[in-house]
Amino acid sequence: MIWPLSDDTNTVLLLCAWLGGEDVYLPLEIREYNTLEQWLFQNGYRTGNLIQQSCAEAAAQATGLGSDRLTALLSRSITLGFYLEEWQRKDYWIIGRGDVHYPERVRQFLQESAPPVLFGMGDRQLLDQSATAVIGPDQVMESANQHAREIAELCARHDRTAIAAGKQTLSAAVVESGLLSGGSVIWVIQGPVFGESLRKLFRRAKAAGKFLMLSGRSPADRRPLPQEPEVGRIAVALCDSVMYVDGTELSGDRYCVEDAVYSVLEQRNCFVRSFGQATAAAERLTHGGANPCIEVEMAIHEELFEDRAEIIQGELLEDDHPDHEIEPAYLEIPAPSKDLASIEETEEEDCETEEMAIVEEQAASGSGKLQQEGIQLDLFEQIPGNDRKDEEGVNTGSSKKEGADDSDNSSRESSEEYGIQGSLF
Amino acid sequence: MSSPKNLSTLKDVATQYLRDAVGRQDAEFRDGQWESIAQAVSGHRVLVVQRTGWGKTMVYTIATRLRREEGAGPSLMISPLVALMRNQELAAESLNLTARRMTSDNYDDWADIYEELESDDVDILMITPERLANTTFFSRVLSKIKLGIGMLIIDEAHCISDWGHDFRPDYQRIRRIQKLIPEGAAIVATTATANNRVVEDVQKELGGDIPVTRGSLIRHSLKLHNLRLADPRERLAWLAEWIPRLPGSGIIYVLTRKDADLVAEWLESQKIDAQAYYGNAGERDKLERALLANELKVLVATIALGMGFDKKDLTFVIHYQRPGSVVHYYQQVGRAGRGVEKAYGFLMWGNEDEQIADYFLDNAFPSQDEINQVLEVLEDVEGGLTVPEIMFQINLKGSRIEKILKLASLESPAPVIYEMGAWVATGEAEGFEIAQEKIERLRKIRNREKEQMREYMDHKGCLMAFLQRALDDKNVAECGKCGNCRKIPNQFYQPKAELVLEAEHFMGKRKIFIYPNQKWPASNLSEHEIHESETIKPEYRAKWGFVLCRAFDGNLGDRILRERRLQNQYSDEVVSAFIAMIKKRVSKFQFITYVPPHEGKKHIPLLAEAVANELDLNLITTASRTGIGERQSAQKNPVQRARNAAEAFVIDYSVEAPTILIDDLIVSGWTLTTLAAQLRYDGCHAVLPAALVKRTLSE
Ligand SMILES: [Zn+2]
Repeated sequence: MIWPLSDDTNTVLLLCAWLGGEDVYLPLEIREYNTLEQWLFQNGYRTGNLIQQSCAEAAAQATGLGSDRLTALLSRSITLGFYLEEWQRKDYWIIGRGDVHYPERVRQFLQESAPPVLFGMGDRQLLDQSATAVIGPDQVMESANQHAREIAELCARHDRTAIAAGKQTLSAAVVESGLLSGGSVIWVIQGPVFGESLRKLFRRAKAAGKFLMLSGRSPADRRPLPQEPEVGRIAVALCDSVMYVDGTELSGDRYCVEDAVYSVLEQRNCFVRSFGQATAAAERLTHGGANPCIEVEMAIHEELFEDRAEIIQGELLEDDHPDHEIEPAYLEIPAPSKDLASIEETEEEDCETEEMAIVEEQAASGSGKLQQEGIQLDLFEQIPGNDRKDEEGVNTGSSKKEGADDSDNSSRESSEEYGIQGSLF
Repeated sequence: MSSPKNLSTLKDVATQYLRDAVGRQDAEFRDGQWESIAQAVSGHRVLVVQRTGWGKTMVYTIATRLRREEGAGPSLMISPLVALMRNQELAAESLNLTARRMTSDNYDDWADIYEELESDDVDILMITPERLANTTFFSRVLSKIKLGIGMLIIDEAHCISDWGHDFRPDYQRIRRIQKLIPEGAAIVATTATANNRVVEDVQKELGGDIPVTRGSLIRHSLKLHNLRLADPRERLAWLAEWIPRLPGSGIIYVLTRKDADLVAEWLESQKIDAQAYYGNAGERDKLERALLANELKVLVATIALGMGFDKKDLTFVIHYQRPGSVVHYYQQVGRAGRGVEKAYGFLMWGNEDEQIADYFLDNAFPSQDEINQVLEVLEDVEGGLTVPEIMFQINLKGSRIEKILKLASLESPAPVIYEMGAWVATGEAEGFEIAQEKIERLRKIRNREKEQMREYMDHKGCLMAFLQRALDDKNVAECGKCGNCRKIPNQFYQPKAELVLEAEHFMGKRKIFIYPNQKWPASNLSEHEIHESETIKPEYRAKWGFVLCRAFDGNLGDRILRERRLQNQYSDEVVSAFIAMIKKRVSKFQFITYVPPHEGKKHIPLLAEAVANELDLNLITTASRTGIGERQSAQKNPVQRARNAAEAFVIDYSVEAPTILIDDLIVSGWTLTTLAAQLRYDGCHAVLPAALVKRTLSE
């Protein structure tokens, strides 16, 4: 039962959630919240105890957070009630860090930088299933997108959840391909997910329990993307294996995906696939122990998802691998449309700009509507340079990777099942 | 927020505020007032059940002032009663507080209110529950309140309960909101009308054992009378005879706008200062002010004259038709006698109001099938659709579609959401089922209320005591003042015969217009050029037309409908009345044509022929039916009706001279609009529609 929220989660929301318009007393930063939580823990309190004035005052005093600020944040409870009802109606779920429903992997992997509250939509069981993160930097070539699509599709075929991170062409390719192939997808983004969920493909997948969206930010939080968003880190935390899809040398990395993958090299089986010259990011990851993927050899990728019976035996070599007839199931499905297009990472979901007011007016008058049937919702930006000719990948040699210690995930059968310990090449 | 020890000091402060506000230094709180304030000030919830005029406003206004002084954010009041908000603004002023309201009639002020909220200059913000459905409520209102809402005031809190007498969909959200608000928040819920069951239910919803202040509902000044005058002519006659004798000013409640017009026009013709109350907000506001200032004797109103209307010296409330329930009756009649010693409540009813009540009841809730139709259309598109776009695809009334969308969007999680100007399906749309048992339960409650109303009408004992019992008032007592207590015989209420005749005559001669449509309900209804743009070009429009009478008027209207159904042609009496109307109202037209009848029917051509002969006009048959389309009466919304009419006719002979266009029954008017446009497109200089009887869509 997520609704109604526990006192603890309510209190975390009062303290940390941006409800829009904050300027005098800002919600607590993670680090501030950690200090507070620690103090509460040490003094035998729960977060929910802060509702008592005496507890709040003592906490403010001890942590130096300021009594005025804590009082002001905690007095947002009626305002919060309005937001909660809106979010509940939009089918969000909200989980606090102290909640039993909080995904264990995120808690363990991100530790004190795990978001105090997660906002999501979709079947939460997906969080406990084996998953592969197919992630990369902001700009990738079309061949890389194609690769990502194929991986997502393989995930679908192998009953494995594909995880995408952030809003860029790459994640769009993963989400769409995964869902069109009938697979399950987790999409980690920063900011409101409701607007996204309304797309026909997405809402149907969500209804079928195959699509989950997740954010560490309140849907009412309209701030721009922070310096180090936790999107990439949440994505790698939730997965069993990672396919890092390399971008171009000039590409930005808004979601800090590279660092996220780097930090997980020891705990997750990581693969890197470059197109053309490997970028510095890819080099760094492979030097750190990630497995370079050479070409789009589906047979190899399939190994990512082999049954435990085959893989657990141990060190399968590339040559040992049976030739898989690849059934390109995805070919039967309409190719992801080119005009999967652009929204900048945006906070605009609910925000009424002048243009939106006009759109509203037009729509109300019946003369225009937002999205015509048949026109894909413009979700992702086409990155300039995507149409560059794909260069043949360069073989950087394959290396065996010793199994990572998966004690973190011993509670989950997924890591065993998919035998990520074994070297794949 | 405040500890008990300083509550007594606070009470002194609060009492002073009360005295300042009412301008009397000996004023004291009524029983329950201070207790309720104390609850709110200490950050708790309280339910106040007291009759209007008891001083609920004082409770939350003083509580707001005390909380504001302790640094809390502004109070938010949710109330469906816009009229009450105006009084509230004044009450706040008397306590040096700033109250602002955001309602559909003051859009122009909103920008200022946003700014005032941002600078924390508003102490009480008042909104209607409907406002919650607008996303701007979050981005422009909630987010501007920096300190967070300090106190939540839920007016008409009985609506939180399904057992309440009025079902306001948006209160489902309020019910959930208050449930989700973490502990320690100040919430004041108020209602004037709730029986035990509703009070218990609201109490439970608000969180169990919250304190309730509850007082007696009796209004001692009120003398109630039930008048058995079923015939509309008798009721009109009674009004004309008695209103001039009643002291002060009052309200007449009717069920439809049509009746509001009828009654107001009749009274005006009798030299009584009466006005019909409906129309746009600005106009209504003006009328309310006029009544408040005693510039009017009587306002003839539908329930649009909301519960918040507060005129202390209102001396009479007359019901021309029965209200939906005893509770509604109590509320409406209770508007009289708040501040005067003698006041009167007269209840009348007719045969038509049973029909109207049934209509409202039957149409109160959509069926699962209708919901499925709407959701399927939305489920199937990318993005969303507007209501007119949905109307294009399914044969349901626009208002019906809106109602379905509204109800569905209030479910949680919602299968459909209004997002950026369009209705969009969510993941919940597929397989969505409305809670049938809940609807069934509501329907039963409404039926029971209807029954109770009938019991009240037939009641032989004290009328005030009946109302008190219905509202679970603890102090039931015979009033000794009502018609039943005083054993007034029904003959006493019988109006003078000559006035009844006059009323009949009046009903017969009222002008009913056909207003020419200016716009098609959708674009591209057909290939025809008249449908090229959504606006009907002025050169294709009809002139203002005339109708002889209305359906179900207890007179000629009923007769025409009967003849239309049972006879092959209209009687001489009907035809000559029609001819008389045209003769009186129309001149300079030399041609007459008619709407081509359905196969085998001759009513309309014969009627046109009779008019042409009598008035020496040239009768021409201009159009015939294409056979495309169905009966107009099977079409449920304007788009379907206009589209059905769009291809129904073809012009065989065009005429240039101004022409009268005859039809017998007019409902939506799309047939006349379309045919007139076609005639005009083919060169006719002017088309004037005329019809025998007008029926509104709900009839
Ligand atoms: Zn009595």
